[in-house]
Amino acid sequence: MTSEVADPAEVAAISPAADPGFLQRYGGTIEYILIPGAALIGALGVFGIFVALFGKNPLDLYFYMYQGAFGTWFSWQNTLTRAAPLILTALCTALPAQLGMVIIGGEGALLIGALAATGAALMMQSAPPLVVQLAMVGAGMAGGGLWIMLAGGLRQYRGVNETISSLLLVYIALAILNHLVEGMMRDPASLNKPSTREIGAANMIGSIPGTDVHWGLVFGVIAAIASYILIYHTVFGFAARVAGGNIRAAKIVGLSVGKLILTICFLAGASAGLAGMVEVAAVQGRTNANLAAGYGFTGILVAFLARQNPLAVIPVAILLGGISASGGLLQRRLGLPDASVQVLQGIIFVFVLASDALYGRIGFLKGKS
Amino acid sequence: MADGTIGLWTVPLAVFGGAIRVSTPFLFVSLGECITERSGRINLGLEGTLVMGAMSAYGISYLTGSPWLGVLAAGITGALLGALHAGICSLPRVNDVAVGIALMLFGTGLAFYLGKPLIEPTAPRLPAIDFGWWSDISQVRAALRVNVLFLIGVALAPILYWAFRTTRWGLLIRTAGESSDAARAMGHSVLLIRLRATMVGGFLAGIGGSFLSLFYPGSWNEGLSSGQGITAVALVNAVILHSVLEFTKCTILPTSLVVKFRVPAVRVKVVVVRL
Repeated sequence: MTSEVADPAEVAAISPAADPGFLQRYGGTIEYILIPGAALIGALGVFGIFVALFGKNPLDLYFYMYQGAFGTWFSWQNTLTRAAPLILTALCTALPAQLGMVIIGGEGALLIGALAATGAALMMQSAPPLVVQLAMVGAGMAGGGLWIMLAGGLRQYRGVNETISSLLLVYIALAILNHLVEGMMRDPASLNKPSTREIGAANMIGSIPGTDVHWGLVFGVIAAIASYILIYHTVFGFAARVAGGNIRAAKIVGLSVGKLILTICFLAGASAGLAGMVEVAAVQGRTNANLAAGYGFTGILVAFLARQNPLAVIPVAILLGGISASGGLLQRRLGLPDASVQVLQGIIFVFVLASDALYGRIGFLKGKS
Repeated sequence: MADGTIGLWTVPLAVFGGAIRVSTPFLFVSLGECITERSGRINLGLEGTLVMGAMSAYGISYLTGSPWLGVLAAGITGALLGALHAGICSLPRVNDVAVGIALMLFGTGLAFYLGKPLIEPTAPRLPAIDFGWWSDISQVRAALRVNVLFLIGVALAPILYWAFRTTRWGLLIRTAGESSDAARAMGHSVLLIRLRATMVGGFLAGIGGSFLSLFYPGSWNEGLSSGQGITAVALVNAVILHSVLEFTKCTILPTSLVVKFRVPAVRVKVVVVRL
């Protein structure tokens, strides 16, 4: 979050009349926490009313949501397990957002990454586990990266809207996955649910010692921190932000915008592809239609709620991982349909976007000027 | 596939009949999005509108026994979702594409939530007009059973084309889309024009959804749409907002989709070719 601290501070330093007061220094940061927070609470309130219309007690709802998400050590582990792919798929939206692009195809990159990782593992069964795992990481990231790069390339060279093309690529990825899983890569032993062969227990990446949380969480945190450093502390990231702020200015100073777009899209897709690899190597053990669990779509919400900041993605992913982890408990205890989590996510998303109108309008945060 | 009666003619006939069946939702969503985009906004939420329309049409048709009431309910649901989209987009500094994504999640989620009890029962379906009465061959008759909604959609495309060129409302919508300053200078509220355009667009998209659940495939389940709304929005961008072309595209694209259905080994969607 230090970046948001930096921006208003810089502004305060530049403008001569500025009073270096607390609000001026930290008002921006407070705003970035307060407004999404208020949107979240508002959305929970509306969801409570919605549930009350169906004759459920909203207080029960909040209690079970808390219980299911953060109430016990067990639910914490469940939450963190779900947060891991969310961090990675959120980066798939947050990184291109620095360039002003709205990429919403994380789900597709996740599926392609999972397929590529599974393929790599199945091709080198006799290799030592570490080699297989590294190959899976490489293949997953390359597969996902190229997939989103396709959307970036279409935008750069053909002028195709990247939002729509990346979303359509999700359905194509799903079709490719089904095609391969039911055809070429099918394990003949999987009768009811077509799947690929298992990658083998030895090649699974396992859990962090002392927990049931798999190593994917560490991958996610590392990827988020690396993205943060890349965007805010390197020349490349600065160039990307310049191009995102004003593309003509970026061209005038000689930045090759096309290369920036393709690289960022590759990194974004690689991150979602890594999420697919993690899901295969830590949870499923094979590729099948279970992988299309909507992590890519929730990742979009995480990125917007985190205001496209790679570091803020981590806590927001944990929060939304908690919401989806509590879905099972809501289903069992309150008899809510499994789609209720999706409804809540949709309401949160709507509130977060509507709250964009509030920035710079909250009286007491403006200071005196 | 060939079963003797008409031999190889089965294939083009099946493709033709399938194209008419499959294209209707695309047609309605695209025409709706066309109106919305002409007024200067993109509504990606039509995917959610389509699913909500399908769900509410099925529910109302099941409860009242009248599929046409279901179609109306789907349209009204769609218009309400359109109003929500336009309302949020009217706030300053809110990105319409992002709101569309949010409403897509919200619409599909809400439809699955409310539609849970509708998966089991069977609702009365929309009737079809039998254009194949002159033929004895069952395949021909099956291919020529055309739904009224398809015909309405076909008629709507040239009407919209004409309306955008000549009527007061058509010109107003285009002014709002192409030069909002000009519309404001003429004393019109751009936000209001866009609100109405988005609501009409949502109304049409909802009707497209009702076709899915009430005619073809003709049942309600959660995999009903699988991206058809988004494909339709992409179509609109592909044909540069031209409502007559819209119609041709809307029948050509589903033709390729139908080929997908007919040749099960090739599952990869043909959508990208049309991009």
